[in-house]
Amino acid sequence: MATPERPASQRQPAPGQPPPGRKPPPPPPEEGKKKRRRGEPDIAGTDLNMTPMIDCVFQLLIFFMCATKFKTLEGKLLAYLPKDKGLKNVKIEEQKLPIRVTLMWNAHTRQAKVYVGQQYMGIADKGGLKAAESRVREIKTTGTEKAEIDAEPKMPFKYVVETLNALIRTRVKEISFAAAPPS
Amino acid sequence: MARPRRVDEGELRMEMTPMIDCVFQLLIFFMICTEIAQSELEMLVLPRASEAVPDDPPERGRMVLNVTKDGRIRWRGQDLTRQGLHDRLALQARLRLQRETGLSDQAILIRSDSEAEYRNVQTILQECAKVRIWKIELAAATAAKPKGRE
Repeated sequence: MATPERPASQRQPAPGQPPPGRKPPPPPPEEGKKKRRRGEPDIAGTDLNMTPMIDCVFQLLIFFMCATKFKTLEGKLLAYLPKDKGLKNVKIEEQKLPIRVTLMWNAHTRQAKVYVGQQYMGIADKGGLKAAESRVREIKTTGTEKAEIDAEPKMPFKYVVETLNALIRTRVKEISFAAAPPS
Repeated sequence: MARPRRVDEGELRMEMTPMIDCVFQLLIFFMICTEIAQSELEMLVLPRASEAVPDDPPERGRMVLNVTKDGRIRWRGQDLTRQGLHDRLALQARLRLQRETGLSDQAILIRSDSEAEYRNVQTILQECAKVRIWKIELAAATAAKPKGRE
């Protein structure tokens, strides 16, 4: 007759093994390593998660790089419109005509021609504005302190600003814009 | 085959503080910048001018009009018709109207693309003259000058 097999709980443990149902004893601490108590932080295992911070800092950096560029490079040129309205009670002999700088636009060649009075100065991109600036300086010595920019409506705005910039350099006191032709 | 390391879920902790700090900074910065940048300043290629003066501090309540390359006049992100421009300028002029002279000391900044046709700027100048605004500022790109230099 065969003997009935004992349940696992009643079995004899093997030599060197803990009895069943009990936790195995903790392994002995390594040489030079202190045993960590419960609740005590594991200093060796502390890991600062830098990834999200670096992500955000880089985003900030890129944004600042883009945003600052627009802000610092933008300036302004001051211009004033005439304050007078209607006719002034001034004698015609006393009025001095302003130095008129005319800009003519050639749509085919895409070039801006510069005139001071009736005198042709050249193409704006090819020294025309420099020549105009020198000419205005010459005229200014005769006592004329006013200048007027007369640009064609189709003229790219950059040439108007470049002309205004050149006139500011000559230290002309008053710079105005010629009235637009009636539409 | 190496066994996967067991993760103790009870002790796993993500360092959120620096991330939240930076996200809040970004949020505040975007909130401030978006309002100014998007509502006032359009992305334009401004003409260059060596004599341009820095725009600091900008005049309070100054109206900024943008002229795009295709000739649209835009104010705070919306296109203005000629009548709309006139009405808006008239409102603006009333803010700093000088009763003695009938002139308005309100400044207007015109930011026009360098390739835009001059007639669009002329339109703005004409409308400014109609409502007696005389202070005009033309935006231009310039290299930053060191402070104290003429």
